[in-house]
Amino acid sequence: MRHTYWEIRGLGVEFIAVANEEPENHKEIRERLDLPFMLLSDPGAEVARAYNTYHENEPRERDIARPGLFLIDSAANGAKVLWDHVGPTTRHRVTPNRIVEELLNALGRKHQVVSVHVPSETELLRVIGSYQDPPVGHYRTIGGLQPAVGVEREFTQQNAMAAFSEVHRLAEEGWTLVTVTPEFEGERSTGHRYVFQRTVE
Amino acid sequence: MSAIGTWLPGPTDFDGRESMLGKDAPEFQLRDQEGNNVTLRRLTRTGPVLMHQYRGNW
Repeated sequence: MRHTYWEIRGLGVEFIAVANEEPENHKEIRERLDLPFMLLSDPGAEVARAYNTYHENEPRERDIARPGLFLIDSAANGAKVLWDHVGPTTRHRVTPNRIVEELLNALGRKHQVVSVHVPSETELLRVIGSYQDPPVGHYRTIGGLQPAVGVEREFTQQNAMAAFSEVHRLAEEGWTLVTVTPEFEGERSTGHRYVFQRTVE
Repeated sequence: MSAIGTWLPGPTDFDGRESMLGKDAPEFQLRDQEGNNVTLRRLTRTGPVLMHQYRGNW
């Protein structure tokens, strides 16, 4: 699901999660699961009611929302619901790939761009040398949105390996490699940025 | 309606739930994980928003 988040951001779409949960609990959950998006509190499930996902529960203060996804257009375009999916239970979730396809379709997009930073060998050694626990940072960024999403430039051995496997995954899934660009921090080479693109039929 | 009919896509998803498709997204103001107020109006100022509602109390 994590790589799907960055694909969603790559489409210029903000992602938020809403639940009947206290901010303190959301803070703990967000840190524990290292979630990059905001978690919003919906006490009394008022937003769930407004979006027809409300589901009564016992006791009543634990009322919940059915799992739902809503794509809301920009304010400039009138903030209408462009796509929604609500399942009766959590077993009826949409798969991550399907979400991206639905968004592309609803937004009328044809091209999807993903860029992956793959650390250099020296960068890997440097990072492994200064071993970090717990792992921080994201190995993956999306073209054009890098400053907006505040991507960390630190890599751990674990997510550097994930960057390699991500490049392989994209290539195997039929994405076209557009550019490979060496990246530097001052004089020091930090690796290469692989930019992939695919056209959606 | 037949059992299979309830699974066909349409204006209602299940249990007669009405889809929000094409409607104005209801405005909200909620607190984020730091306790800051966040409005839908502000979120949609910079572009589209994908809202994921999930059951709390996990």
